Amino acid sequence: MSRVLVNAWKNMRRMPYQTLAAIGVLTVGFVIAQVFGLVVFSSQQILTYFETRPQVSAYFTDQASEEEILKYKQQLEERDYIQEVTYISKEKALEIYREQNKNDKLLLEMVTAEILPASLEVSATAADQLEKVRQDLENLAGVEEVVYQQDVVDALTQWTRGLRWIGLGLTTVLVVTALLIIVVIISMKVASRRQEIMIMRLLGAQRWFVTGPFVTEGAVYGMVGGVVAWLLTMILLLYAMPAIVGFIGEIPLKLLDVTVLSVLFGISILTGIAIGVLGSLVSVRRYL
Amino acid sequence: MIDFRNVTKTFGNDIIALNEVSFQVEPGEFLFITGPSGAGKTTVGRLLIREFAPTSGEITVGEYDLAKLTGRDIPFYRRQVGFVFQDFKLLPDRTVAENIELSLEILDKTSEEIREKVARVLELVNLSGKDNLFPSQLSGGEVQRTVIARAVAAEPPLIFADEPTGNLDAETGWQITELLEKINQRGTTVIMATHNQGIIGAAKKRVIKLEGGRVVVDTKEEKQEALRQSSGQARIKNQEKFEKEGEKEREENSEGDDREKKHEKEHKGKHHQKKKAVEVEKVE
Repeated sequence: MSRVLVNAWKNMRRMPYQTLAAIGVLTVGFVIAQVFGLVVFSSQQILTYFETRPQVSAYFTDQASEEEILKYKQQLEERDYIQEVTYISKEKALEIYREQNKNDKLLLEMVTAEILPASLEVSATAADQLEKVRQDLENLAGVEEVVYQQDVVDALTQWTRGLRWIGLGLTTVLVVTALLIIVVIISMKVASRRQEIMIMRLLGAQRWFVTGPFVTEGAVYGMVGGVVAWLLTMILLLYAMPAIVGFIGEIPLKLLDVTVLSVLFGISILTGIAIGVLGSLVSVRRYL
Repeated sequence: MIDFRNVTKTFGNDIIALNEVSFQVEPGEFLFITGPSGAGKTTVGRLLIREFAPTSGEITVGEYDLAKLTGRDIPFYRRQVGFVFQDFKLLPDRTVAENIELSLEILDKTSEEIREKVARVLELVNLSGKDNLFPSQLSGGEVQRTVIARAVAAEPPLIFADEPTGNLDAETGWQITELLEKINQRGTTVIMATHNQGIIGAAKKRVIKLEGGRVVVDTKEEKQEALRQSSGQARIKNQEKFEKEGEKEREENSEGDDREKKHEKEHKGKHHQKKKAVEVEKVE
């Protein structure tokens, strides 16, 4: 085995530009695939966040009095499929608005408590009770609009599904491209060493003695490509994380979680090795 | 050791390289295969390393029936035959030592074993000190010696040398023939394909002559008698040993430097004779 590794290293050293090209192409492919993987993973997390928070909000017109709204609150709290009802007065709504937009003075100046509606935020005991809660709220007098989380969840589901398909398609294209690049590069190397291979075989070399270094070379390309891509993705992630957190707000994303990063690293290396070995085997089988 | 029975090899539909060829070679024998270009000498060699199978007939080499070899067996069989290629087949980007190492790496020998064996064969072929030169830096004779060194490094029981003197001057050709004889005296069966009649005439070994793919002359009987008489009991014993104990025993034989020196002494007289033959050839 050590001889196979030594010969693989010699092969790579003899044609350094081809080696760099192979690793470069694999790295770019893996970075794109990993970024897409993380985007799909994040959208799935956002979706789960909304799905596990069954909530419907009812916004009241200015005509609805606080006493009326509190009476509705009391009535709703008595129902067994309702977990919690929170009253958000116009003043409280302004407070929340100010907190959310504390960095944007222009937005703060334009808004007063008067233009913000009072609302009831109702949490159901389970997601499948949300429809019933929505109907209850729509039947209340003075309700201007009912915002149903399910709409958000449906939209997110659609987006996630779309992203997943785009990611899958893009990853497939990148994997096939990487595979073809490996096939082309290893084939060039096999062709340039045809004489040497023929001599080896006439001297009694077994198949693995001849093919081993090429297959190992492919595996090394894949592995190095996978590791470098993972490192680049990490740098990108660390750089973009503050912006991501600012954009999605309170939704917790486990992007910098050790398990997530370890799994990404493992998948990256294993896929790299698999592509490298497969590409080399295809070219070696074709030419030997 | 080698048994060719009614071997025919055709290429395409109309090129008959060998036609119903039969001969046997005993272990430890030195045999010349001669004949004009296109007679089928190289085809015999290529069949012997199982580069291809015969169209018809049977070839057995030791325990191997070449027609029944599977793709998986072929590499192991080829290790039993050291081939000295007419066109050398040395790797130009590797040094003399690295070219020889290749045949030992294939056998998965340790680095230490490889170093030791390479040094030993370089000494045998008289190339010590040239191990770090590239083939392009060697003379024709040295290149041929390197090819022989590579062929014998793995200590195969059989060497097939295809026109090893073809591109060399007469003097160097003799040196190469002597080297192959020296290897033969260590117990290795040697088949040398050549059309150099000067060498064949002086060497006094068995000769198979091919013409148009057929055996037209085989001096087996008379040469075996001559072999018995000239080499005496020690040589016959050596052959018997080879038959009985195989490769392991041969290895021991090869390590016997004293015996080698004795052989060298025996052949000093012979060398003198051959030098005379070279001079005659030059005059011709």
